[in-house]
Amino acid sequence: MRIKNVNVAIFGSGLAGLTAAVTLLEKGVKAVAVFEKRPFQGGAVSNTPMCTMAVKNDRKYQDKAFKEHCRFTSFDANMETARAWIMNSWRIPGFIKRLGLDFEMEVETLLEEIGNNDAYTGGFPFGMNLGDYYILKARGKGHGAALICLRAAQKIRKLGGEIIFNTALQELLTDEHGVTGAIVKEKSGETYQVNANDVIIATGGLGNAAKEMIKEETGYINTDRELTGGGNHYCNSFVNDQMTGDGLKAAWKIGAEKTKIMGSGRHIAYPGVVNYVPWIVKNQISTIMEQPYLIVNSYGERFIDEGENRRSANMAAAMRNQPGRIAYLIFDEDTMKHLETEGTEYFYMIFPATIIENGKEQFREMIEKYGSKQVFMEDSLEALAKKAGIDKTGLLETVDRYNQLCDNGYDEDFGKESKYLRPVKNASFYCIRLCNCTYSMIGGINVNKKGQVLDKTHRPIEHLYAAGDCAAGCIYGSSTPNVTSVSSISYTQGMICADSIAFEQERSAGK
Amino acid sequence: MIKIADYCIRCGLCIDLHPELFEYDFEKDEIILKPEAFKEERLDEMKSMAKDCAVAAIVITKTEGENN
Repeated sequence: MRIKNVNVAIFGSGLAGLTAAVTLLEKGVKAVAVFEKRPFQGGAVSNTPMCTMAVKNDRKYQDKAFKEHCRFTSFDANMETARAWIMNSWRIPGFIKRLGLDFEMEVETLLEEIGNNDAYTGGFPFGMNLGDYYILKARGKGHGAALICLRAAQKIRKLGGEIIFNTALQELLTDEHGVTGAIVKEKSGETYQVNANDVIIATGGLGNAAKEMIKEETGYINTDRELTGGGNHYCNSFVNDQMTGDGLKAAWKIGAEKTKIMGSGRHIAYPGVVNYVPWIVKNQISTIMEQPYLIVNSYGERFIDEGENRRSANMAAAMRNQPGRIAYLIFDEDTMKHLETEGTEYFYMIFPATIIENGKEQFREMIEKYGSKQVFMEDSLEALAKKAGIDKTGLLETVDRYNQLCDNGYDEDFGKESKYLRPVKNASFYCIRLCNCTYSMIGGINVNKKGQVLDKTHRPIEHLYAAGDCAAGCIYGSSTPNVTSVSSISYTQGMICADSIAFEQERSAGK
Repeated sequence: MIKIADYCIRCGLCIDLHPELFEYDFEKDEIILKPEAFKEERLDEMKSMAKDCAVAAIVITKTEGENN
């Protein structure tokens, strides 16, 4: 078998893998090679975060952020790893600037705002607002993170590192001292052996291509943007994502502890409404989807204060506990007129419509032109229930009760702010089916504060590290979201792995 | 000459904005140009898309004898 010798082998060229490689090379570590399954650089992040988060390099801020994170996760996560992330995240802006890139905007989070205020972008639970937000400067209509990945890849080559495309991690090799390398598989099907002093797994989370694994690990039935075969979850990071959990499987095979995999970062109007690139929308349906109007499950029952609809990670978590893990936003013609004249209650920065223009026509267009089976408009609630697949009796009872609450001006059932109580009385009646969505499912590997992969006894597997979406889950535990702060984790974990490897290699060389 | 550079991130932005000019070749795992993309009358749209591309992967260069 062909053999390639490197010092550090990194699998995956997303933010975590590229950050690790750049940091290693900046520290003077030689023979660093990044292996990427696909023929180009960049992971799920290439098509995702417009911004990232960093906690100030100030003890007061770091301690507050850490306490809030512990509270948010109810300590159901790896706290030392979370602490390491929070303590190192301040390095991110400098890292990005050293790539020759800058920020469109920086949004400071004050000490008193940590954990109790909306993050700039909105959509996240309060508990995720831990630091300052850095909005990346993008090129054209693209995403800033794509540019970061490209610049990082260029820097790696400039500093003497290698990026090897079309080469996937197949299995890890071990001896009595730990991991010694890997068997990799080229696109042609040919395999070869990589010998390495240290290995970093940064293969990302699970995407649409890992449908079976997602079902087994999370219970979600993944679908695609055309809703082929139904489903209740969608990953929108790549057109043709190939995130099949190669790193997870390889690590588990040699005894790495298996941790929870989850990802319910946002809810979206069901696939078919979004395009390949999620922020290029066909119309304003995505904005309407985020309004705090009546939301029911498939039994026609309310299950949440719909005011949380703007904090999509909260909404997504609540939807996860509903039958079929889907939900329906329902409103009437009066509310549509309100949206068209007075405007939306709020908006997410990516879909910043305030006035809905000719909403009825937009619904009609979705149904007739695009053939959407997730957007409905009917003259009666009975017909709406039938078309959308909601229990008719349940819906009628709920609407009756909800309208009473609206008339009373107080939401006795869920405590929604009275300004959002808009009755559902007059035709036409509108409905948008909602499902959960992430860039990828995250988690699966447990790592310690040095980025070392832990085995089932919580001991590090020597010479094996992990960073990014495959390891970020251990920082969030059961509350796993997959939104902006995960890119913060990817950068930081990449740096931490690089720090640890550089330190250990220097120490064993007797420097 | 118009081509898509190998560092294209396959985000699909160009397909979303101009499905008549770009499409995904799932077998080759790459975005390809449709015949329409090479027509003279589409050059302005191609130039505009080249400006919008996240990583400047749509490369339009003059070749000898071309006016644009």
